[in-house]
Amino acid sequence: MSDHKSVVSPLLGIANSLAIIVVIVIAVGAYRSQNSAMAGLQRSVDAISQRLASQPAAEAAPSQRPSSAGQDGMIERSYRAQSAGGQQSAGAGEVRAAGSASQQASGLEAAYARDARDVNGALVETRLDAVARQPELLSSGVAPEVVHTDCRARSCRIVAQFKNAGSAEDWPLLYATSAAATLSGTRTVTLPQADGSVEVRIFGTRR
Amino acid sequence: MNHFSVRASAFAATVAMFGAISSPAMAVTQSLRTFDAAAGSCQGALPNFEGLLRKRPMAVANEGTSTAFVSCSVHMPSIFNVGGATNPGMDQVWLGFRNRSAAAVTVNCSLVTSNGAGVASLTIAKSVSVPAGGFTEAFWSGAADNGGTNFRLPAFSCALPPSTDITHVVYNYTMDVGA
Repeated sequence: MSDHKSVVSPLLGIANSLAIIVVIVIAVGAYRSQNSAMAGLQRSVDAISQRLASQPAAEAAPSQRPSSAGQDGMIERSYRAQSAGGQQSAGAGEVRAAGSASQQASGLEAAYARDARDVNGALVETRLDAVARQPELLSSGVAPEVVHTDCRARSCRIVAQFKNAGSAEDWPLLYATSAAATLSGTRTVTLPQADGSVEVRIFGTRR
Repeated sequence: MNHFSVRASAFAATVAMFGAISSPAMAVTQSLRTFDAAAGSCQGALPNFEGLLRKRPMAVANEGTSTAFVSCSVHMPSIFNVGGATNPGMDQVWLGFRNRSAAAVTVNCSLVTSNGAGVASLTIAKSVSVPAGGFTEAFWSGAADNGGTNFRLPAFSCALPPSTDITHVVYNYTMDVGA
């Protein structure tokens, strides 16, 4: 019995040592893996920080679009088609629409042109013109020089001319908010002109 | 004794192996609902509207005789991988309004985003009626208003009629809180 012990004990000792080595190797591997993951995470954070530093903060998924009555409107479909050709940003899972303002405007114009004409469009245009003439908009100090409104079956197109870029940023938002009862959502494209003025085109989805 | 040591070591190795494999993949998410008082989240959209507004602890109030526009923001705790699986953004947002007048008022608001680089700004508009002396909320959901997609980094524009207050911004979101 004691002979048997003397043969088995060294073998068990070797096995025990091997097990300890395996544990150490696994622990080192896990540590390296964690370090690698942390390095990857840091690279992603750095990439996001760089992008945020170079772009406006108010970004959102291109899939964000007006809905309810116009949930699947032509303007929205056009926008999604443009977005599908956008860039996939590394690391953050963000999809951003590509193209300049004029390209965006072209896509929205094409969608609007495909929308059917509507005999009742004039009534909606009148309602939207009244929104543009609301006292709080006229006295806001950011009102446009000219506003032209055109409505079709499912959408409206509002073109406004501004003397400066600041007003062109402010007024469309005040207008879109004020027109909430008529338009469920809008997409606005800002087009700077050679003479320093700014043209804004608002594409709205009718309720 | 030696048999026991081998088994214990093997057990420890197995535990360590599972730990090494599983810990990097484990992500714990938590659903949160956050309340922001309007005094900290909203301000007049233009200087001429600021003159109509009073910023009280419980509300930003339009004390003027004409409509005042306010811009409101939300505090997103993390923008890392926003829109991704572990930080999908906000699925529901509420703005609260109080009417201090003797007649019902309509409040119009837009959820505002941009598709990047300021090329095209997007709005999703809501119009709510606030009863005389009463309270109501405007509500946006990714499911109903955004084709099933959560809102990533929204902000808000609201037209406050006279004697109307905006009281709060509340939003639901899910975020990765670590393993």
